[in-house]
Amino acid sequence: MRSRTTIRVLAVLGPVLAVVAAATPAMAETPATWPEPDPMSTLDALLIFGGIPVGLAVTIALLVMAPSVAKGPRYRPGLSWWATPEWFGESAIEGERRPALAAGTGAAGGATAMTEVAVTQPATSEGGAGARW
Amino acid sequence: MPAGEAFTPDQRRSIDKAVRAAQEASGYAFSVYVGVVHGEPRAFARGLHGRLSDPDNSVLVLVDPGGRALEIVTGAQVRRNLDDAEAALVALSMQQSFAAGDLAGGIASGVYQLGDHAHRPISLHTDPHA
Repeated sequence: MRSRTTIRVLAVLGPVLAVVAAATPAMAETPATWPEPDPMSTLDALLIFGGIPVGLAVTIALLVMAPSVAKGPRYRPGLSWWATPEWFGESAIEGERRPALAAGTGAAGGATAMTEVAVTQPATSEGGAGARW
Repeated sequence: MPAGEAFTPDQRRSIDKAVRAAQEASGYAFSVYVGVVHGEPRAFARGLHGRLSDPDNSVLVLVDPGGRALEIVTGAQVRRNLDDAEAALVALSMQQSFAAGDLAGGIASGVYQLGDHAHRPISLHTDPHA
């Protein structure tokens, strides 16, 4: 019984000792022939181990965002819209208000429809069409 | 959509170009308003149209991107060449572009189409301005 315990202990310790004994080269100093590097300043260390990763991250982020920045803001239906109103062609902001037309009652034709286009054409002055999306 | 500019300079140029082309093709004045509508879109658009210098010979295109409203108002003279069915056809095509998120492209192509439809055939035997 006793010899059996000894064998077990040896079976466990043997390989461990063998591995540790074989690993002595790993505990060696760096070879004396290697040049001794200058000590690194904190600033250098920060630049190399902080600056380069951050720079890489910024570069990759810019590369990802560049196409959408170049294309400009994209209109997404359903999101709210805050851009300042724009006119192309003649603007009606400075124009004189013409009471007959601006009153907006009765005499106008045209069509307005929710979710689809509709047409009406009464025999009146102005016309046109409307749509929603 | 962030506050500020609605279009890039390129998009603005393309819309300007479409407006000029439509005016040259048809001889009528075209105005495009892109922005917020106060109140009912049709009434608002007609109010703007009425304040143009020559409403009878003008086409107003109103686009409210936030309210998702499009209105095309044609003046009494324009309407002789550009009837409401044609305007509705253009509105439909613009609506498709807008729903797909192409605001500037939809406006430009819509204005081109309106200009084409409003094109006055050259009359050789009468004076069209008489």
